[in-house]
Amino acid sequence: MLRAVTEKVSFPAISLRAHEGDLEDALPRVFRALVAMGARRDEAEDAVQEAAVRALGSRTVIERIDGWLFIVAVRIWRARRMRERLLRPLEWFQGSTPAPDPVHATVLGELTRLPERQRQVIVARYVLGLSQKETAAALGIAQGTVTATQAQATRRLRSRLGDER
Amino acid sequence: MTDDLDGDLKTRFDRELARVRAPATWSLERRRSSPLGVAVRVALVAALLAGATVGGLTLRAARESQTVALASPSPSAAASPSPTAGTASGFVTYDNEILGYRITLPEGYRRSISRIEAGQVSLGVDLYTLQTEREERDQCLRDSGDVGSLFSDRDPDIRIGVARNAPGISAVEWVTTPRSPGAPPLSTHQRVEPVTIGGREAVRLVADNATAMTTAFVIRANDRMYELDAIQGLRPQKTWLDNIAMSFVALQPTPFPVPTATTPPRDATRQLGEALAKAFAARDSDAVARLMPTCWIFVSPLIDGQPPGGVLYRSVALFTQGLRTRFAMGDLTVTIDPAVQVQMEGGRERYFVRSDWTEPDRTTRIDLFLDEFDGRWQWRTALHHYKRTDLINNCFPYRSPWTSGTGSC
Repeated sequence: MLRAVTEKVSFPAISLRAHEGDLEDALPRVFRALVAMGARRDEAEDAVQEAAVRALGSRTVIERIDGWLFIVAVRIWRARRMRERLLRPLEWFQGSTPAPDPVHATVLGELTRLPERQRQVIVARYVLGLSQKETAAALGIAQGTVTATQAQATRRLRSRLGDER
Repeated sequence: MTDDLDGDLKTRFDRELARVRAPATWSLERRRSSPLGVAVRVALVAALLAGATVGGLTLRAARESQTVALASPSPSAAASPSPTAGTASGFVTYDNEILGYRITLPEGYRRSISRIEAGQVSLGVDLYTLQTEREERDQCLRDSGDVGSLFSDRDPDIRIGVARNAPGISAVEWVTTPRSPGAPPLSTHQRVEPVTIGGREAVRLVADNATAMTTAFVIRANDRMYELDAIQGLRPQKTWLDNIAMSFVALQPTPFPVPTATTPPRDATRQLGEALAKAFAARDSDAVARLMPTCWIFVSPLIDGQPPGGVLYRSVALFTQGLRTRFAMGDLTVTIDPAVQVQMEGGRERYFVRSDWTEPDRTTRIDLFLDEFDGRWQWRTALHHYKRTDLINNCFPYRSPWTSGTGSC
């Protein structure tokens, strides 16, 4: 479902190797972004670490390291989770998945109920702090799509959180 | 550029994410190989849970004894146990006499799954969780989105899987050699540390990265291997699992119950396929629900025959409600071909029946996969066939009853 956007981005050439400090700074932020996407902590840690390793070994040149890491880590995480789910019976997850709080809805809990695209846009904007333009570049979609998706997702979140304006 | 962000939402995100502690250290060295440490264990879990049921025997729960506020046993151990915060208030001890072990866990843990399989390799698996039964029931009334798991600040679930050690190999050999042909060994991306637990030969697996987290123990006893690991949740400390493992005691196993006669899979699936066909033909949503799991059904797409990722746990309660509504509206017809199809997956047969879901503007093929769980054959998985051109902005076009509301996109 995710596009292989890392090959598509065409930001000014800044080598990742020269910015390992940026990389280190970005890791906790990207980790939280993955958790916000719905990853377990161990999954998030593993995927972010793997993405960081790939970043260091990559010749890709990018502007926003966190955006790049986010997309790559999400792909890694989803691939693993897909494999995991195909292997495990439902009750396994049923017995081990934390329950959402039925009384006090959380924004992170509600976020997981949004469609993938909306969730990506919201996380990129609210958690990673990417601009609309950077989000569009990272996700490989038009900026207008980001605007519309963000607005739609925000409305749904507001509605589900019970404080629709 | 944040002026177009909703300030209140931003505050809520910041507040909730502030509780998410990021790892203190990161290892940015390239790993030895690309396979997944997690997936390795998952593969074994799958083998234990979904795999061999050669004996045809599945029980819901093993006998257990529960003792609250019991002091933790302190078997001799060469491993380095460390004090555990939060475990001083009380403990719960669980026995599984058939699998042959006793474990002492912090108070609040309960055994949520217990499967006795008596297979050629797998003998069974128990899962212990802090989640209450009420929480389990509540979450069955909601979909799990297409992610399935909300993050948790709770301590992890604990899995104890038991397998025959037919070749009589050591614990070290057990974790360093593939458990099935072509599978990576359990020690992939792990450091292997021989230890002794309760006088038994054992191995501690420690993540081979900067976290150096204890990920699992394998204990050799009773001509069996006991695998103990933690899943989900957040380990309070690196050696959290060590403290649990140190309480492990091997018991003299009692015999496996005599298996009751079971219907051969092909006969059972044929009966289930026919029952599904009949229920859908009668537009009887409740009859359909009786052939499904009680909580969630696993929904996954195929795009032009390829799995793209993106999965959904659909609440069976919500599905049934949606199906009832669609049948009442008369704009959905489901046709089942009861001929059971068989495909090989991971060395075992998977069974499914084909179905067509016809709506005024489209017909969607959905394969209904039939699996045995806890001695009952059920329709447990729905595989939706789409073409790439069916997608809407890369969104899978699920509709009711597969999603609540107007659709998933």
